Amino acid sequence: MTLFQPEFGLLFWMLVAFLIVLGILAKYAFPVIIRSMEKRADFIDSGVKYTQEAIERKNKADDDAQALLDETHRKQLELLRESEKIKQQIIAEAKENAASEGRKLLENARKSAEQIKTDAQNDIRNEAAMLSVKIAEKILRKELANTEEQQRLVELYMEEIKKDE
Amino acid sequence: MKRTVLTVIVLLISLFAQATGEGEKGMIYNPGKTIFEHLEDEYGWTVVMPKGRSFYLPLPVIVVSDEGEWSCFSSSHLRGGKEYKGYRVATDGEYSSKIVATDASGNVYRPWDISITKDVLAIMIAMLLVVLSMGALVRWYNRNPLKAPRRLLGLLESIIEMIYTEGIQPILKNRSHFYAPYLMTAFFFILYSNLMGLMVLFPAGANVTGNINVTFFLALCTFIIVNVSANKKYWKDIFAPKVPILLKFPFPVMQLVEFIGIFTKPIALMVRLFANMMSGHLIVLVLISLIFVLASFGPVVLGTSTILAVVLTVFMNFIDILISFIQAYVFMILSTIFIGLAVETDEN
Repeated sequence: MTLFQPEFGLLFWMLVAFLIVLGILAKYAFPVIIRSMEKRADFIDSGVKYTQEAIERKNKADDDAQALLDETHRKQLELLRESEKIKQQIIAEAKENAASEGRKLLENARKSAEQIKTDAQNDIRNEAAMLSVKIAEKILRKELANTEEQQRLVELYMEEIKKDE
Repeated sequence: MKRTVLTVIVLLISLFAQATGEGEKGMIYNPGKTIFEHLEDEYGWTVVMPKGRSFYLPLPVIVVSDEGEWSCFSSSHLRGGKEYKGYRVATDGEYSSKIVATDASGNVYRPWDISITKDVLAIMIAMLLVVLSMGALVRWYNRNPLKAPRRLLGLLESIIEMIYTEGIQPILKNRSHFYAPYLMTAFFFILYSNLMGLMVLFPAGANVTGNINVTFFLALCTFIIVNVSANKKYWKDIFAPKVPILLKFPFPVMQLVEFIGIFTKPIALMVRLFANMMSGHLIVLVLISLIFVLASFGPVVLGTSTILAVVLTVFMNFIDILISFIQAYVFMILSTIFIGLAVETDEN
């Protein structure tokens, strides 16, 4: 059976064709193909890695932002509380000031009123004194119509003055 | 549905019944001869055309006679058993269907024959296709360095990816770059030849990988690469294996087995690919021949056998597509493993 017989011509051409093709492919095709495939695989791997890192960074940034937000919120509350306290304090101080000022004014008013009262009393007193002096003068003028009487009175007063001293 | 199928079957049967009725009565069909003619190499290529026509594609015949005289002529001169320049195609005997010459003393001998036969042309076409497809892939990479190829190139690339990163790399590790070109060239040549062998129309249709010379050459390549690149450990495992002393000393059983193994591995490669591809063609041819063999049994038998044969042929062709891939992969992966065994060191 010729099916199993070795055939020199076929082997020869097979050798020639195979070596040429192997030469071409080994030099120009397979290194390029394998390198390109590996390069692309590396590129994809690095892309995946980069994406993972980016996701991690984003998560971290989210966490940071959340923490910052919480912190700010806390500070805000604190500030609000603080300002509330200050407000109360200011109001209290203002009230205190107003009260003391009022008291002072009241005091002053009372003082001036008293002054006015005293002045008025003094005026009245002076007036009354003047009036009484005038009245006394009138009385005296009438009384001292006679000299004897006058003399006696002068003596009496002199004595009184002496006693006072 | 059932009725449609039944109608079609009855129609087909009646069609073939008519055809046989008009056929030639006296012709005797010899299936064995036809089948082996189809499986064997030829000096020209009968190209099948649509509508049942065909034309003869003459191929160059290059022969060197025993006197050292070179002759180169078209194979159409030898067609139909004619003799040209003292050469003819033998019809029987040791050199059946090969070119023979007769020397001065009347002895029939086989000249040195490096003709471009049907199989040689098919080998060249397959090689050209390998180069073209790889060239297309390289061109794609040069144009789009970081983009995955689409369509057919994507398929090609995924096949390369599969055989390289899952077949060659895990076995050969850092030596992959050196051996990959041979392994992948062999793989793609076998794959393309296998698939082209399944197609009927020119330029496919030749039984290349079902020709023992081709598989012999490929197995020889693996054999040479394995034994040339083999390291000390490989030879030590063969001539001084680590087995009980009784297996080595009085009579070197183990050494003998290992030594024979050097040759049986590539022979197994050769026979496996050859037998698989040849038998695929053989089964299809037998199934088709069945129609003609059973023609004499009458129209009903012929019609049924035709339908059966066509259905089975389609089924076989699907299996052959599968086998084409499997055998190409098996040849490649076994070559890789043999090389891997030859170059492995103790640490891996």
